[in-house]
Amino acid sequence: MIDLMNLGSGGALMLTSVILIGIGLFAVITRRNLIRIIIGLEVIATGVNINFIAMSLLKQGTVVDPTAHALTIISIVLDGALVGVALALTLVVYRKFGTLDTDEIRKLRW
Amino acid sequence: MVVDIVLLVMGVGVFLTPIIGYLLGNKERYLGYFTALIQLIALIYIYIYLFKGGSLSEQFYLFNSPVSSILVFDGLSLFFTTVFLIIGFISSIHSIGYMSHDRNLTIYYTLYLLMMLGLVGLSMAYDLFTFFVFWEAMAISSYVLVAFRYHLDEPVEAGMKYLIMSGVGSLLMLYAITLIYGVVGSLRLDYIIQYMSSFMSIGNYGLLMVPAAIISLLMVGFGIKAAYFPFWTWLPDAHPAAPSPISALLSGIVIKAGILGIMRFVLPVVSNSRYAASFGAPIYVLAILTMTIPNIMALMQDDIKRLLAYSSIVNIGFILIGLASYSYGSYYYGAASALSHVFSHALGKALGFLAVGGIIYSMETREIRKMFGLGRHRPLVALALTMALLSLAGMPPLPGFWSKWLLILGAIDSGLWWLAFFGVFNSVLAVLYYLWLIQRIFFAEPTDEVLSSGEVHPAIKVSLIVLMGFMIIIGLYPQFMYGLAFNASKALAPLLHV
Amino acid sequence: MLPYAPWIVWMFPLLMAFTHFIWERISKRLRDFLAVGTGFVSAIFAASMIPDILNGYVVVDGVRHDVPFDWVGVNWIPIPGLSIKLGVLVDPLSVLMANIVAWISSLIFLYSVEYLHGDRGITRYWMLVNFFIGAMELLVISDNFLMMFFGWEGVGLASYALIGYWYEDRKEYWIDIYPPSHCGMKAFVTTRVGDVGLLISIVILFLYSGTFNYVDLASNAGWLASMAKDGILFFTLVLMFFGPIGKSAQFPLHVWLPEAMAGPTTVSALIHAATMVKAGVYLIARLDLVLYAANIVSKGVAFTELHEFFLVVAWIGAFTAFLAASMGMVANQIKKVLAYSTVSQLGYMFAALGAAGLLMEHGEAFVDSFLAGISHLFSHAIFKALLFLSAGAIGHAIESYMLKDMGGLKKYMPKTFMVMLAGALSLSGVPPFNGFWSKDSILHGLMAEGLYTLYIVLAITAIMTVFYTFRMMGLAFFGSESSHVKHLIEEGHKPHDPGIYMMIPLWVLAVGSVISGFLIPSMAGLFTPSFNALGLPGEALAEVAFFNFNRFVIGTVASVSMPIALGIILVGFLPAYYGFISYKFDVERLVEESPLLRAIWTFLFNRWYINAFYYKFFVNGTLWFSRVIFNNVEANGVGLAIKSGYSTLSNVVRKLQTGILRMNMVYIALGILLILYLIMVSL
Repeated sequence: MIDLMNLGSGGALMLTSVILIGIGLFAVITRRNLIRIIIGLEVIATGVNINFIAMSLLKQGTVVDPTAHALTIISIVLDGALVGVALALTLVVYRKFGTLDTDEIRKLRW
Repeated sequence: MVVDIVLLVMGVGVFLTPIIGYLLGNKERYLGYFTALIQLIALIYIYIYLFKGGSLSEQFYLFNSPVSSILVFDGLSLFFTTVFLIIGFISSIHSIGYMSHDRNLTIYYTLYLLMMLGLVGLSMAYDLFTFFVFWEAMAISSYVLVAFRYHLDEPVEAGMKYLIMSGVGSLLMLYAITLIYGVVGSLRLDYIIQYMSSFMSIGNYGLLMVPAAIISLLMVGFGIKAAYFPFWTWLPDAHPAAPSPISALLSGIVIKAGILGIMRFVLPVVSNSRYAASFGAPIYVLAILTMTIPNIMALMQDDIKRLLAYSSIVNIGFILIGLASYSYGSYYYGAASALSHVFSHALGKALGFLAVGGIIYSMETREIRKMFGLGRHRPLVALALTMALLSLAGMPPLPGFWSKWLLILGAIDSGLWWLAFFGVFNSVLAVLYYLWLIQRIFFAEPTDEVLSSGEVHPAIKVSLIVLMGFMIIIGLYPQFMYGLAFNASKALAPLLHV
Repeated sequence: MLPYAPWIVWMFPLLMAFTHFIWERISKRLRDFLAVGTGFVSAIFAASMIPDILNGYVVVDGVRHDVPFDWVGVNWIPIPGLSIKLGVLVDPLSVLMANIVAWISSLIFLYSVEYLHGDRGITRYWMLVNFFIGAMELLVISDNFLMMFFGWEGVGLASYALIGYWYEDRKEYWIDIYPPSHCGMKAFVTTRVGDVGLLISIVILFLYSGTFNYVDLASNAGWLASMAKDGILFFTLVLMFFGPIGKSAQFPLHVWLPEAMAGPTTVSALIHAATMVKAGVYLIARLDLVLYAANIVSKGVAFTELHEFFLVVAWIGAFTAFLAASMGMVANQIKKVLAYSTVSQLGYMFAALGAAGLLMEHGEAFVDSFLAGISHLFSHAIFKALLFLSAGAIGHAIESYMLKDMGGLKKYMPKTFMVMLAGALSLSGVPPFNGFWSKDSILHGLMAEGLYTLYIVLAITAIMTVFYTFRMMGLAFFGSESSHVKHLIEEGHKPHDPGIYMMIPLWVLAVGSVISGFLIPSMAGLFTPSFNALGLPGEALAEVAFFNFNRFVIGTVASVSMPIALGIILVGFLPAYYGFISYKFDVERLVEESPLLRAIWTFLFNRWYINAFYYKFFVNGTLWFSRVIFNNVEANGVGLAIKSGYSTLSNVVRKLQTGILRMNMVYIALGILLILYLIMVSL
């Protein structure tokens, strides 16, 4: 249970995470290069993980709740798997299409 | 003692598959039997457990520590596990035939089982992080499976788009999970429900923004997987691009994981507050949009798999009708109707894609106009496709009818007249292209491609016959489907129905 | 009753439908024999139920049940709040319908053996028609709305597939500008529009009453009061009436039936004249009985709503009768004349059944009108099947259904002329053919009960009926041979009467159209158990003048309605006689010269522009909508290929799926905002 009106030291971290997620989303929406999009994804992931840590700081008590940290580590692992697959696919995309510009990779439509 | 055994069986399967594949060497196509066997064992074990009188409220703690991971076996788990495993089992039989000319089958079957493990785990996850882990297992393996035939253009492009969009969705969902953790201090569903309902009962409009933000983020995460408006754009690319058995899984059950997420983690939370209808409002609007727009888009498709893919989106819209009527107060019929439609659509759409798989196997084309006159030359495949389409069109007494009329019942029960109207209207629209297709398949003169088509692999035939038989049984004895669905809807809102 | 007759009567044809492809492998004759036999087996089982109805009780497993007998077989879905039981209802209405369906189908099957001889798709034909009678029997004999709906959808599907039976879309089978497959689709979609209403209303009814069962609905009438209190009773009933409007081709959904004639003539006779289109009439008749009983049980709480509803039914029926008859006067194809005539006659039945509902508080008048409607259903099934099959014989002989391709056929096809004349006389209501008794009892009933406006509309329609019937007969059989017939004769294909398989059903139906007229008065006897169950005792029935045989004949002949009936026939017959049989006037020149007549002719020939309006409104409307989307979404796409509004709309909306990843991401971002906005707005 937390007191939403009194965020304490977690507030700065929360703000950071919101900024990171915003940057990531902006990259994902506006960039055309696949690599940049994947980097955008990674930035979002980092922001989310930081938010997890920030949330654990919000919990009142003497000891910091270790749950969030444990889960963050798992989530980083999953994230690694995601990026691995994404980069592998990017490689194949480049071989197939000769470009990483997502606006030109649009054989599938309508 | 059912959660752990089932997950153990599936997990052992995932680990054994590469080993057996390595041992089999160039006979790796036989792994399909192993995959099917693993899923069948899991399915049979569940029903033996139930037959022996096992309870439907088993909880299982994976790690007994602060970082506890809770799995549960309740009505909802039973329902989704049954659907997932039945479709997974039949699809893996189909794979034996369909994938018999492909290479790298060890990878294929390993990912296949991993995806099934993810799905089964999802249906049992009782806390959000466990849910997320299984979600990612399912999602990542499905990206690779879509792009499995990476020597072709289409799967690669589709897989890439699927990955990026779905990846963003997963991350937004994870963000919502972290926020829930921050607000509630735990990720267990029962704590979330309790805390959230007391939190929302304060009635401060500013404070209500927090659950509103969390729930809309969750709905985006689930929505990208479930492919409702406006997140469906990856689906018409990815589902046709995947190998047909994988298309059957994706359209039949993977998109239902999003529905499962909403049913497990969104509906119980909102329905225990007095704002249930407010949180149902987006579901209401999205249901109408999701039904109508893809329905119009589907009419002029030449590619049969793309047509079926659009039809999947339409049916997600139908399922949302049930969810909307649940949040608007039809607690008895709403969730059960959505679940029945999950069931009947899983059967119908899986059968449709598997039948198309048979067509592609024998004629190597997906163009509808090349399939004209199929009925006379490939009667089994044509019959299977027809049955699938008729069920999707809601022809009694196939499963599609049983679920659709329950959806309308739920919508009217909760007073959502427009939703009922749009539901029926869209099923009429959909009939246009289904019937057109059936007529051409059976009545038109056979094309050259049909005349020169090859024999269908026996494994494909077996999978089609099994699924058709199952559909007829459900059609004539809908009690099986309804029983599972009504049972599951009882598990949906533990506090409400106590 | 033969054992399990009400079950076998629909299950047997349904099962047999899926076996014909096996018999085909063995022998073609065996397949034909079994297909026709299926019809007759079903008919015999149906007929075996008549004695029980007349006795007033049914014996099942040694237990005696009174006649409106609800035979519940299986508890299909035993979930509380959703209990659905599988059952059949043995009552006069369902048994009568079952017999009409089974016997007429069987005769038409016999006819088809010769008519479709040598056609390639005949296995498919047998499969579909056997499936059709199974579904139709299920529709009429089930004891609840849900199974009725199953049959309802089944017959729609069979009808769709059979209209598009000549799927190659050869030019000779086109109706005006539409190929058969288009006609099939149009029929299916139009009737589905009605089914939407039917399904929704069944669901509402279920939510209020907790049951689909007719008997339960009639006996526990709490739903009537609670629906009336919520103010949705009228709405629900009108929604339910949408189903009959679509299925029985009533205004405003009548547009599909003339085009449904693109199928084989046997199909037109079976599905689009004798049986399937009667499903709507059956449903209203069933509603008559259910609502009558429920009204008594609930002591008339919802009487105003019911009255309004039946007023709608009666007026839709009367208006459609008038509308279709006027179109029939100028139709240029023999099957289209018959199709319009079918729509028109169905209108009579709705008017009668609606009037029955209006007269609910006067028991005897209710019985009177109700029986008149049912009698007309019965006699129409016979004479319209006869007319269609005769038209099929003509088409078989001269390979055209255009009236301008006929003329002077009496000389070549004397037997066909004889039987068709019987049908025509019956349709125009000439005594003693069955059409006279039934149509006159409708008109008489309306007049006797003081529903004069309905009476006048239907009497004028009767005049038009006589006119178009004899116009059709004149153009086909009298006058000089058309160039087409002459051409056929030169080529050595002299038109001739059909062979024995086609003639037997024609003779049976022709004789039936006379004899059955005398059975109509005994209809009251058949329906006694139903009315007894409604609380109308037998003595009251005996007092119903119209259905007491002696008083029926004497009373009708002596009463005012007899001269009127003869007058109607005369007024309709004379212009047709002078214009198309003796050729005293040249009708074409008359129409050419008089601008008024030409305007009327054009108006009628264009079907009051209703069809054109639908195409303009729905098809062009979507086109306009497409153009708006198209201009605003993507300008560099393909040009608008104008095929039909809906497919163009589809092609335009598909452009939303751009395939550009960034666009998809923008959709996601907008989606988040949309969901958040919707939640916040409604909090």
